[in-house]
Amino acid sequence: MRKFLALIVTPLILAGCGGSGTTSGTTPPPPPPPPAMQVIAPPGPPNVEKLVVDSGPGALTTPAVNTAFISVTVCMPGTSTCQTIDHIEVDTGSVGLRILADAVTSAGAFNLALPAVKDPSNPSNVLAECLQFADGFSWGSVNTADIKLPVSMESATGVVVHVIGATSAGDPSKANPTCVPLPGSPLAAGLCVGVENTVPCFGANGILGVGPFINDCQSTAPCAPLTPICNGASPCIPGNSATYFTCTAAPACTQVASQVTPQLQVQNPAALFATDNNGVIIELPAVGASGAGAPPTPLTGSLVFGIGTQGNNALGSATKLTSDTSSGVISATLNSTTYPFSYLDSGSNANFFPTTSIPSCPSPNDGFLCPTAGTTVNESATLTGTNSMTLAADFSIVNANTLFGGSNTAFSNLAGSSYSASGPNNSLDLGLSFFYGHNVFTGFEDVQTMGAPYFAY
Amino acid sequence: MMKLSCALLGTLAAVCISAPALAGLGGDATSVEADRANMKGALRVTPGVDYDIHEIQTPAGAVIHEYVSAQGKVFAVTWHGPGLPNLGQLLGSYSAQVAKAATGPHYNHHHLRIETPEVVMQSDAYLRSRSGRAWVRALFPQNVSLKDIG
Repeated sequence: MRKFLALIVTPLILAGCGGSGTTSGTTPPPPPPPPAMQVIAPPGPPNVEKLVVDSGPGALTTPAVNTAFISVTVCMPGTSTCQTIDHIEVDTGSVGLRILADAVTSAGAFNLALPAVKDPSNPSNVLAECLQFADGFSWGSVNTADIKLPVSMESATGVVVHVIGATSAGDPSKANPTCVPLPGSPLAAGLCVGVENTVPCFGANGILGVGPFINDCQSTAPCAPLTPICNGASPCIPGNSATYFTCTAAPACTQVASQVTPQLQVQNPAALFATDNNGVIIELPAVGASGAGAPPTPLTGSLVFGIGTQGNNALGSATKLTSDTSSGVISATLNSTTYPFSYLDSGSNANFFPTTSIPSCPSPNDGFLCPTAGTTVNESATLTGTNSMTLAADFSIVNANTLFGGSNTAFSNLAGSSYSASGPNNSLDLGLSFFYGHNVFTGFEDVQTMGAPYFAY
Repeated sequence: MMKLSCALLGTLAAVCISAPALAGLGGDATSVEADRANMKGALRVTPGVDYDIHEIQTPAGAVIHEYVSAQGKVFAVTWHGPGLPNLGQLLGSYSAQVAKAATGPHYNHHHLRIETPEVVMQSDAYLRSRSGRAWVRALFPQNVSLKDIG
């Protein structure tokens, strides 16, 4: 049947090109084959949440770019006392649900008094957590909540979450070690001085970390803090990116010993659903060269829960690349250079890779790349999993300042410069720029079978 | 501040008293020893033609490289580990200008890049790993590429 149709179509194309007085001596090249069709599952029960890319919650001082958000309904455990918080960033590069205490929902300020997680070795104390990001520190209380996602209706009870900026955790500079940049740190800069405990400094009302691990510190062991990093004798910051503290009622908070078991750490909520709990798929449509998602119309897509658990989340023809079980990375090759510490990350707002030939933009956008305005740089990388499977990853780069000149919020050709090195730290980060037009699977580790985490598309 | 901490470090006091107050970028090779002592780390030096790599392994499991040029100056530092290092110490006298150059919230929890005419700093975060690097343009040896710094 298809061959028959092709025989009819081709002569029509040739006839069409011969007209308008031009001499017909050449035939046009055949059109390239269409890309495999991307199927985006429609949001709804049992497992598809609505994803939006827009400029973020109203409290932000600069608009978010390339940030995908969902809404999350948070409830007092065992009750129907709930609040739905919009603009929770979806991040496959971190683990855990974190809510900013000053988030404002459509029904008013977030004010649920979620129960605190008690210190198991001293139950008159409660737990707090310090999280170090690339650009600053977040500090808050560790609490339990029942979670329900409003569109997919996926739910989990008694989830350990991080309430960033909760007054119950007290002043982060008074914690021991402190949860603020050390004096003299280059991070203690700008309006936020490296502290991200409010919505305007954090960039969202919260973050849903659905990275490939089941919790944020140690999947199968207590989160024992590493040796703190100190200026001389003090002050000190935690040695680990995620560190738990035990707090008195005052509050006076000191880092814990080894009592914070895997179940007490901040958990990957998507790993706690009754079913559809082995991974997530981010499905965002392709966008044009100048982007999409200008207010008031966000770009919409889907966050699908589970891989191979429903009719709408099979791997299908996607290729699976397993990643390192302790770091969650794969290898990449780009322009004859190997990047052993590579990954796909929906929480990165651009594709980040080391380059010495493409200039960075001038400040304040020096985190992004600015090739000559009006030009497009095309890159083609090969990704290799620990299972030796490979995938091609093609992407383009356009001048970031040109993109930011409009009011779009979703860009496939936004790139930034990252850590460039010989050796094991060399990294290609395919951020949200790469996700548009691909259904990107993030498979979670399986701590029961020691199954490796993986990416697929 | 430095003298008090040296007293507390006890047997290492002799090293501390003679060490400069600021180590890291722009410092000399002896300042790397001050960094190592402060971090309570183990040091390994890999000599090379255009630069030596001074590698510090900290008790927290981080690996820090300080690149010392043939002129004896630390021109680049890199870090990779489970948490942030003492960035103020690693960036030394360049830390203040990097802090000043940071504008507003960056809204990027995974990557930070700050550039001044003299120095560049990058900080990266993915899952449980933290890494980054910083270098001083003017101190960078001419026949060494950024690609060599890791």
